[in-house]
Amino acid sequence: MEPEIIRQLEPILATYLSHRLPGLKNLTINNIERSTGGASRSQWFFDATWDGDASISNQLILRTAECTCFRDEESSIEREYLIYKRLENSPVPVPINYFYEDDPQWIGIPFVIRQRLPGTTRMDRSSPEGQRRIADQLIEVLAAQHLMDWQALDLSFLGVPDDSANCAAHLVDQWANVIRREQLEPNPLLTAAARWLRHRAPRKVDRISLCQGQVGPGQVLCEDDKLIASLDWESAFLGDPMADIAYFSFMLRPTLGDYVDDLLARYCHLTGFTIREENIRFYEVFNSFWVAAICLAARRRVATGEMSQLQATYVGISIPHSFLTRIARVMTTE
Amino acid sequence: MQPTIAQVIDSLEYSLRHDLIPELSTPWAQQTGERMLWALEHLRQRALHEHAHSVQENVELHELLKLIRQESSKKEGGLEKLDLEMLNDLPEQYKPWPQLEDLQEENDLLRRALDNVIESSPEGDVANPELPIWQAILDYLARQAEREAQLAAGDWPPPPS
Repeated sequence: MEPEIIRQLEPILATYLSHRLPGLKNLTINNIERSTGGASRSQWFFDATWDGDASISNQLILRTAECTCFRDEESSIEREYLIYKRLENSPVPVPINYFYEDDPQWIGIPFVIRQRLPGTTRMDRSSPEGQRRIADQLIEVLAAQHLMDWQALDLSFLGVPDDSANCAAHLVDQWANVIRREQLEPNPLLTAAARWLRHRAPRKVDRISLCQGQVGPGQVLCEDDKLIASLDWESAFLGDPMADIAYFSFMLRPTLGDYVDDLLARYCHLTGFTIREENIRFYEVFNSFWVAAICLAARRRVATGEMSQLQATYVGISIPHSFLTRIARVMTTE
Repeated sequence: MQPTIAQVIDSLEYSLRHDLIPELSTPWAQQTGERMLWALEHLRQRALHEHAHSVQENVELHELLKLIRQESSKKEGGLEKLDLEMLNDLPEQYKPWPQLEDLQEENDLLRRALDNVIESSPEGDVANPELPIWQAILDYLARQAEREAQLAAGDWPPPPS
């Protein structure tokens, strides 16, 4: 987003909300603050006050299409907005997304105005007992999410796998193509990883479910050890629920240890699914492959001058290496 | 030239950490300051190690591709299917005083040749340590990932602040 637009956000937001909600009187915008959370899309927190009644919250977020790592082909902000809208009346708690706007007259790029809920994404700031309580709630939400009727929720636009037995291989091909499109130099490690993953793509899948892609600390909003909302739906897809379970387990085991096994047992009880270890091993590596793939887009954006912000350089260079090293380690030890 | 690049980076880091970041009033500005500290560390690693890593990387790739050519001449298993065309036209192992750009250009060609070999390798062979070619490729990939991780100076997820 252009620095000149950022300096003018207050009047732009006031005019925009008045345009969307013409009944509001004496609308004022306060406390605009750029969010430090996440590393993908630029977003600002702000408060809005007005006289009279309105159907939206006073505490809001401006979330823009400006993105370090995703391309619209894989994850546009409109796609993200539609996912949130479909989830608003589902068992998955999400903030309300009020408006999607693609008219460039406002800030030059598409954006969403979203409800800002209380809480923090820093699960690690809770006590160990508190973290277990949040994880208890998260596994229940995850079970409900994986059992949801995504067709009834009109989520087929995420791409329905032709054949559940091939959904893992299809994911590998999809992201291998992204790597080919974005990479600036040959990357034999990722080429080998794509072929390694393809050969090990699991074919036994209990059900095609709505998967979030990233699940765990950083992707949930919590307050007083209560899970308030599930965030970060930009990488959602329809596929094997073990993809989410692998991510959940990978992210939570370092802090919760063997308690994760209790959580997975609870998940099996709630869903009737089996924890498929072969699938989990595959998705643990695939998730690293996926992170590396999306970070290559950030690298390209910096190299081509499309995005000069340090945020993009950081995402492109700093983030992927622990994942790449991990892929190399798994391939050499399995 | 003195002070060295590393020493200039030290002084930049010092001023950023002690003079600038404490004065920044918003969380976003503070985070950007922290990321500038990361970027300086990244630049330090590249200034100190990128040239040496590039030389090492290309030596290893030349040796690896030579091994692949030797092994593939045995025509065993799936080796006859490998795409070795680029291996016949590899660049000479570097000039007497290679510039980083020369090394990177050479590296690009060598990696591309290895990439073709990997792409043409039967999927079932990939990362099979019982195959000498794949044991050598895996060893190279692990070292290459470690070299790049050192230059990136990154860690994810970052340690809790």
